[in-house]
Amino acid sequence: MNKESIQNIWNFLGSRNLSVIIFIVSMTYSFILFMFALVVPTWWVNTIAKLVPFHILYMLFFLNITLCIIRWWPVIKSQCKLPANPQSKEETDKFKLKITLSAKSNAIQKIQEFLKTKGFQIYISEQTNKFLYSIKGRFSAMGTLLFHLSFLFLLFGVIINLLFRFEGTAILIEGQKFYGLRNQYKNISPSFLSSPPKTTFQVDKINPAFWEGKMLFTSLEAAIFQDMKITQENEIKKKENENESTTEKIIQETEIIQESNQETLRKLITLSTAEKIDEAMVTLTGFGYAPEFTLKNLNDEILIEHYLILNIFAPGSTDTYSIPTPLYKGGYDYPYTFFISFYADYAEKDGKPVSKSMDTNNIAYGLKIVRGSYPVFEGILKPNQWIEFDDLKLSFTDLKRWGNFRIVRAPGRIFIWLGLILMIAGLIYRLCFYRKEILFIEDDNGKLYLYGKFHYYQNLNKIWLENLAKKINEGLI
Amino acid sequence: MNYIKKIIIIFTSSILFFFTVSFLTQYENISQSFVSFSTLLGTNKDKLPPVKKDKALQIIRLFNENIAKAYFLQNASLLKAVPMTNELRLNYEKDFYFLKQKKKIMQIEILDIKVKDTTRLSEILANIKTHELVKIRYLNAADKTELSQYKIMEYEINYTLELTEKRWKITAINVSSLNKT
Repeated sequence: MNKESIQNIWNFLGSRNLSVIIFIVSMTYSFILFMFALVVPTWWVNTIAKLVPFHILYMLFFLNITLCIIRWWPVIKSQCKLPANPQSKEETDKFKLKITLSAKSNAIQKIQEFLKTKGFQIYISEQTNKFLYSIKGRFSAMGTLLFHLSFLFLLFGVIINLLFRFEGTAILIEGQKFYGLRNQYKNISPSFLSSPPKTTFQVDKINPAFWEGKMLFTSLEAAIFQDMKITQENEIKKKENENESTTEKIIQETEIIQESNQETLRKLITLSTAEKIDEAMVTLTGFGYAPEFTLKNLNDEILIEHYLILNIFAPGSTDTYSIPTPLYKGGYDYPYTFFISFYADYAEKDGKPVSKSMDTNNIAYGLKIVRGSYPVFEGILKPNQWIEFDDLKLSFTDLKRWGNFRIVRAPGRIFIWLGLILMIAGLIYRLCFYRKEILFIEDDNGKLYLYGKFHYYQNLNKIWLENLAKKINEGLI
Repeated sequence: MNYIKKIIIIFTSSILFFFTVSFLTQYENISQSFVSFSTLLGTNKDKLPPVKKDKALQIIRLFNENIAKAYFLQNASLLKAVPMTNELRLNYEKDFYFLKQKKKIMQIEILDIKVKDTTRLSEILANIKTHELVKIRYLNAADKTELSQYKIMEYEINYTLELTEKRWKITAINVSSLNKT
């Protein structure tokens, strides 16, 4: 390959033509992804987005951007320079707009004042007063550079995230502590080099609010303690306050925590709003109910007692539960499947159980216990009500809420944000604060000429320049 | 016009490039997605062969008779002849073991089975909805004396079946009691 071919490849890789091709290909690939998104699940679309052609496209894109910056840097630099001799023929020829003024030469002094008020930098020939050169947005070409550089920041952020990003979801019941251990996550999607972030908190309360008791959230928030330093004294005081109303209780708990331990922080995480806790951003993405399942034998000995994380929040939904072997130490498995549904505000309509509202005014559980394939119990169960089946007793003795928490550590986020800010700043600087040059030259006959050169919006600026000329001619400036 | 021509050339060649390179490098990912595409476009439920009610009744009756026999004889090996998933079989085996520990035998007598509805979900999946009347009692495992009297139970059952090797296999059972406890 000779030198000329290498130069041609180099030029093409850093050319605007390639930028346009990359843009069209990006649009085409987005269209392909969109088509797949209609028929295959999201995770599959993610897999397709990681296929080799996409990688080639990304590589070409960033190669093009980098080479564009390198190739266009001298041009940008020259665009930021001031003309060495503005009144020379060579320079004046570059001005596309030219208007002959009828005003006298002494107008230059007044024009100078006017342009200063408009933010122009003035360069005037003080010896002869024969020309005035003014410029605004001298470095606006740098906006293009900022815009292109922003993509490199984005790339850096994405690479950092690919290597170190961690995202996981954890289902936590009210009162449960989260230490950031791997086994506390329901699912995780770590990057190559990431480990779970150091994040420690305790879920205190999860409070949903519904619009007129219907399944429309007006708010969903989780109150959490940011660290674990909750003393026994607090626990006792909390128990003493249990008879108070919820709002009062929350306020009092906050006070107790603040009084006894300054380092413990009570925070509110609202739905879809991330809160920074230690190394991670924590978001509450959903909630559900966790009834306490208590199973006894006929001698009232507790066999099993624990909270069940169930998806029974939506009216009409049923979740199942089977007793895992290690929970029961009786030597054999319980062959039961429990089908549980939840009625927050229980009522009967045409002999069928319904929930009048989403508010927990009158809780009841729909319960079906199946052994083998035959039901041994089917009916409605109120909290703390005991039912008997197959020499066993069962009740739901308490109810808590669980929250689905998304825990994310994205160290590349800052670079991505910086990239986005640079991108916007670059565009604004380039398009709104573009370079405007105005030149006044007086010829040997005392005739004044007005020249204008603008990087963008020629027609709009032509009108502006004509208005300026009119004002000068009328002596208003 | 020239620009439009260029755009069309880039568009077409990028699609060709995408599928060629994807097939050459990651064949499995892309081919499976195509299968999903063709399934979505090609499936027409109306063209599926229906499950006849008498055939459905035959399958369900045989299933119930075998289960009843296995319960009475407390012989889990009899379940191997019953076409169902291993998960379901394990459920029954657990139940046999549970009853054995409790020294009980469950005796089931099928009084009536009516097939209310059959639905063909796909080429290999079907749903059968039944109304069943059974008598259930418990016996002492040692001497077969009665522990509880016969109780007549009325159930509405939804069976999900899967066609494997030209044989219908039960994959899920959802029972509802009509006479609530």
